[in-house]
Amino acid sequence: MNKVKRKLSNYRRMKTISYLIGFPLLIVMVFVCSISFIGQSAFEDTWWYGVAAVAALWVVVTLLQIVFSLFAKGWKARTMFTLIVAVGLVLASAIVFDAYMGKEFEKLEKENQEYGVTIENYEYQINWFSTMTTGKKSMTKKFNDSVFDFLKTYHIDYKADNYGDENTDLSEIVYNQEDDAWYSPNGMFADGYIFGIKQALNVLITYHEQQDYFKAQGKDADEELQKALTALENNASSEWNKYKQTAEYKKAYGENGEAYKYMLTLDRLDAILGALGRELEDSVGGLGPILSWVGLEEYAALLSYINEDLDVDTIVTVINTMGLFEEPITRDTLAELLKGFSFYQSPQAKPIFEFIEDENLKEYAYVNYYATVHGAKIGSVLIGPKIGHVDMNNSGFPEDMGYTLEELYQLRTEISYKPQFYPLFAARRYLYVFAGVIGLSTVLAYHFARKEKELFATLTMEGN
Amino acid sequence: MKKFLQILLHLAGFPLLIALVVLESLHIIESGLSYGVMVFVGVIVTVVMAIIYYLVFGIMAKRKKKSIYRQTIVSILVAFICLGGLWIAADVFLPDFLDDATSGTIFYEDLADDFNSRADVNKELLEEYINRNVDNGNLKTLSRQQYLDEGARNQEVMDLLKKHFESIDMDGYATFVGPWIDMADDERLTIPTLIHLIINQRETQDKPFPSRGEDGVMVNDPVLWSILDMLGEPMEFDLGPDGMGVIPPQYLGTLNLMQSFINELLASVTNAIEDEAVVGSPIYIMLNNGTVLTLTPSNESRGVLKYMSMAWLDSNDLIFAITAFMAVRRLFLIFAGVLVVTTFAIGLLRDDSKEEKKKAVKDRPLSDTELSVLDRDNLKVEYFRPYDPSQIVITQSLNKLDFNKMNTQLLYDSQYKVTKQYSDEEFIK
Repeated sequence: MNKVKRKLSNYRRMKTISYLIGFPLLIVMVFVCSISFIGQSAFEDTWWYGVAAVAALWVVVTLLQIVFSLFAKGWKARTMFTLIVAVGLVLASAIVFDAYMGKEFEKLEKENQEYGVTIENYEYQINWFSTMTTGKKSMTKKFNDSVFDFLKTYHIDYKADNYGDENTDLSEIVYNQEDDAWYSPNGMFADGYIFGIKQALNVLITYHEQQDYFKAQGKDADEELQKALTALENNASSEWNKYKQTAEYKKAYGENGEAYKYMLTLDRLDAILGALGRELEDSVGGLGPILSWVGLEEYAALLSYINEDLDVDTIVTVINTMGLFEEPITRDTLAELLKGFSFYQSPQAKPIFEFIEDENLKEYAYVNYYATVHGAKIGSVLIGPKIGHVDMNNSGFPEDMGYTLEELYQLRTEISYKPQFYPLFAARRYLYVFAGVIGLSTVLAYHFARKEKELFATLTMEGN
Repeated sequence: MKKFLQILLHLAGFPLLIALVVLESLHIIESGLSYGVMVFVGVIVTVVMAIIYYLVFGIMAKRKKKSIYRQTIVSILVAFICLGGLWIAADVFLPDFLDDATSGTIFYEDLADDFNSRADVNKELLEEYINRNVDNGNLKTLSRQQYLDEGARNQEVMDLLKKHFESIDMDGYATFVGPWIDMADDERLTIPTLIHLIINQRETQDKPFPSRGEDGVMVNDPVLWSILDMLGEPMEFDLGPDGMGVIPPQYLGTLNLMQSFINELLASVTNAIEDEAVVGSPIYIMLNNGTVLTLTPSNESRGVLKYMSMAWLDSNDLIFAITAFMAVRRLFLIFAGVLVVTTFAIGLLRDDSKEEKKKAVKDRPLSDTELSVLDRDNLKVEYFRPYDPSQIVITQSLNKLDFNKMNTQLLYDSQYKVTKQYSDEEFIK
């Protein structure tokens, strides 16, 4: 009896082991190969593609096996069917994948030919994406390193982020998954939008492309932009000046416009100067005689302005009286200066760039704004004398650490396919290896199941 | 001996766990005793789990409806769910919950194994708050030491704290709309961000802010809060050649000479900043070492901590409760394993004892009367297995029966997981 029991146990054990060395082991192997993707920002959403692909194959094979077993009762037919389906599907998947990917890579090469990007062919990458030779750096590792360097340089994350649930003026923001960007009602990036790699690359590439475009024409993009903006402001019949008469614009920048709540206006400056004059009056009062004594009567006279009546007009008068500038300044001159210091682009009104007619220049105006002004706001400067993390505590990286157009093209191309393809490469690597193993596993599993059944039947017949 | 071993194994389970949890929680209990029951949450949870375990164990043993094997499996499951299962679920759901509940200021990872540091922070926050308010005269009914000793039990302290937090929250943090305050909190305090935080118009709710006026009388006038109050730390800018390079080297000597006069001017600027037309909250500006400009917020003079600390302090009882709960995590996970082993071992010992009893019954000569009342359990061949075994109902005299045949049949059934009830007539010699 014990002998029979041992035999039965052995058959069961062998049946289980046979089954496990098939698809379950394949999944484990693909998972192990996918470990280099786990925890890497570029593969955050895709690292499991390979594992899912082989798991899906297993499910398909199992479903077909179940369906077939409803019609065929003989073990030979079942074994044969499962064998053909399992091995056939595994091999066909690998062969079709190779054919499809070969075409995809050819397409990629064609699409990126004009950018001078290097794309190793499929046959090369399918083996180098994860190396088996000790000490050799894989393409996955190199790609992860280059993504990391880019993100560090510009102080961004792979995926975009947005601070706050709405804009400063409480206007609604909308997330666009395809662009990986949050937008304001005027179509510009939201106030708290932090670039992800996709938009950072887009902005930088467009910026450099447009700079090159104007350079090729013997022009300077920044000068052209300045000229266009001045023309829009000065031409009374420009579209921009017409837009300024609309309700949409007036709501933001008309009298008592919403946007003024978030910028320093002359009225607020008047109030600040008044408070400052009032508090400083006593402290600087004693300075007058000293200044007069050292022969600076002119400056001593200025101290008399420091009182609670100090305001923008007083400052304008004093500056003009002293003749500090060739042209006398006005309240408007100071207003312009303040605008440069704390201008708030309303998320509900169109910016002046929208009215630039030259499409190239318009595009340049937007990306220039995002790369410099928006970048400086969020502490991720894309273009400037200092780039990256520039804030009160960090001074960023020097300009020459910025990426060249060629490097940007290369990275853009790589992020367009590697995060999706490489995890599938892990599945493909083991599909060929496991075609035979899965065949063997199927045959053995059925064999031991049959042996177990036979022994059981014998025992039942003998009445034991 | 077996009974003694069972007792030992029981002691190595929940009683030992409770003792260790108390030891592990001692620091938290000492740090936050003034918050009362909240610091005992870890111990309470452990005791509750122990009660559940022993209730299940005791009820099953008393009712005897299930075999010892089944009782053991159920007890193992209960022990694992109460200890390991609880924390496996907590590891999945608690991190994001904690992140949300604390607005991203306390994370699961901070507490999982470093709960004592959190207890220190919680304790120091309250002490610092009391010290600041004793220093500025807001708290003067008792001595500093008495306030510190009473901690959260002192109603005067807790009332003051509640109103202070409402003010810095509703008239401070909540008034900063848009993305800017989050960016400042997240190492993106850029100059444009700072300008927005200072210049943006803010809607306040004018919550009363208790403070002692210059005449020594408590007043409840609302106050405004600046971004520096939210951050709570002084800011320093080195304007000299070693820092921002704003001041040319040739002026350094003159600046050093004029430092006290400049600081007098800056004191007036501070007063101007306090004006509602400017910032509305004092920022104390001082020039140190000739070139270092220091901007100190009003927190210390007003007796409050930075916003994040005030928010923690306002919910310190809950934070202590969470900290005390987190303190049991590692021990629960360890004891989930320990209890599986001890409960299984207890099951084996109980089963063994039962077998011995059965054997004693079987080995002694039985009278016909005894046989007639012999219940089927006494001859049940019970294998340790997860299904009901087959049984043979004994009605005949034992010496008429073929025990080898009976044993073979039950062994076969157990092998093929068959459950049947046999009459003993099939097994007569």
